[in-house]
Amino acid sequence: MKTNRYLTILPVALCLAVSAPNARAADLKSLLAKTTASSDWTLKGSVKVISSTAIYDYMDGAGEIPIACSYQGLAVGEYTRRTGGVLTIELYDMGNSSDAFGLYSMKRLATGKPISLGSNAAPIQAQAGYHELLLHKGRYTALLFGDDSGKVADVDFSKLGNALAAAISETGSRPDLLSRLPSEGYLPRSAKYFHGKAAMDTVKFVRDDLFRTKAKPEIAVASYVAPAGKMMVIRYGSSSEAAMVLKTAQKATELKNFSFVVKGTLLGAAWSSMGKPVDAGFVAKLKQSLDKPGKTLE
Amino acid sequence: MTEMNRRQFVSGTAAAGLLAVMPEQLLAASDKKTKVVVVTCPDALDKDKPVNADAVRKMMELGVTRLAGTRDLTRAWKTFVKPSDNVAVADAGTWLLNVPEVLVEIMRGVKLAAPSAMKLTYCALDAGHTDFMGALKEGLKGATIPEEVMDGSIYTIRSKYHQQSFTNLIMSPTLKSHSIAGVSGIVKHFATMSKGGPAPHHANAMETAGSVIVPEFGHMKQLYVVDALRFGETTRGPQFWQKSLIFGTDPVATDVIALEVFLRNCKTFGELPPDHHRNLADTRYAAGISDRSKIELIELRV
Repeated sequence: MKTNRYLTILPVALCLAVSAPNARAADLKSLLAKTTASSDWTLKGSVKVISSTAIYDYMDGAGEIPIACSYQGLAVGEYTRRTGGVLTIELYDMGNSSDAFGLYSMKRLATGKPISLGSNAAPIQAQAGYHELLLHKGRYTALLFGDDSGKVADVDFSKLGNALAAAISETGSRPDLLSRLPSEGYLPRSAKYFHGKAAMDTVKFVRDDLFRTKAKPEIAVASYVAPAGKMMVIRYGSSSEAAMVLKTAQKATELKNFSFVVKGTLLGAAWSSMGKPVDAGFVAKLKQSLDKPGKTLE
Repeated sequence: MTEMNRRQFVSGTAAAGLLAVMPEQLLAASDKKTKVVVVTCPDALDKDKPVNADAVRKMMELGVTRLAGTRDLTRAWKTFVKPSDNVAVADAGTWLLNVPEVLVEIMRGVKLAAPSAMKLTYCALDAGHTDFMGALKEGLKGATIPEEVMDGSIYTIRSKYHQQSFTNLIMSPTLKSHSIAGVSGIVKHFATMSKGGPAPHHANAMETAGSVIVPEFGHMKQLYVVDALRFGETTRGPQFWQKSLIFGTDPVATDVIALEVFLRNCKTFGELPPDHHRNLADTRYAAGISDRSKIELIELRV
């Protein structure tokens, strides 16, 4: 009886396992097709669909940051048009809107220019510059970039960005963990959200995995201007895990100038940009945010 | 080869060719600092100014002759490339493509040394960059080098260098801020060109990148021509026009200087320490010299 039940369940499970990536690929391809449908851009060859570690091959050996942000799939289309220029669209399915913001936050630059995509906004963010457009909406993050010819103009990015935003019907929200970081003194557009150590290393490099990122906890980090420093909040699976990490972190010489706060499953950390101990007021703000969530940082 | 220590490796790669040409200088050099030459030319190119191929050629000639310690250009190239050599020139890959003229001038120099075989092993992903590939082919044609020297089947991810019989490697990486290594360069590029690919070396700011240099490439004579004409920011293309080429035979020392030049005007990615994997390439993997006090920097202008 038991065997028969497994024989029934197994094919269904296998079908689901196979069909999920296929459905994702079809969805991503469909969004790309809608984005360029009423433009003068023509797909060159076919759309590449990438998942898992195959991203290393596509990105000339890299791929750690999308992986650290839990990417689920990537579709890449290259487009040309009669008047010249080559445009590439990388469309990531991040699985949920929090991780879509996460990849966006890791890719955006302080020097990027935030732009509005009109009626397709909320909750959406986009930045332009560097011959590219970066945006997130729903569970998707997209990077559109032109070749070196300079023939892909800002207006092209804007039109295609709007078309893509319109094609994505779902909305979503930024990670609620961002509301656990103080908004006072926040350096605009500096917030980052991720799960893995490769991304953690870019905000604070510590050789050993002292914050236990292998279990892929949610991590939010932001920069502050006065006093200059950073704050981080990590949400662990249990309060005992948060307490355990706190114990390890407090002993680590690499983190000697860090201040820590724990609230249930949340571990907060604050450190100064100057490598000196942070002042008590800075840490008090963090403690307050852990106790009472505020505005969700952008 | 895995038993080779740093002194043997560096003197092997840096000096294998030099022994025949300048034995006295070389013997004395064993106790001297490792030489790295930076050649800068304000007229080479700029943000809105196309590449001046003649200037790049002059930079290449000055750098190679100064590194070799001879004024004769052919003799200088023959210092690094022997008639019996099977040479692989490796480009920078797609995150920041080389200025094509740099690769053309390297190939022109290698041709001057007349090795038994030479290949321009370009990154397989370059093929999608038609402007770059077109300019490279055109440049080689102008230097009367047959297009057949171009081979995109070796520098793949994972690469196939280990399956080839190359005896000489001339690497021309570019530098850009890098979301895993901090700042890319020679040591990181070896991980990319290794048989296992870069992914196994990504952890902890690519701290194991230097581990492949001696075991996988130590049997080859080596020359580095860092294409520092412009520096990049991740995959976003050129962001700063440095207008330099950097020459050396020690992979770590040349990379340490390249990073030093990069950090004069550009920043690492986030808080990543770009010297971490470079230092470990020396202190843990004995692939070259990272101690700045043991590196002689020669800065020249054209």
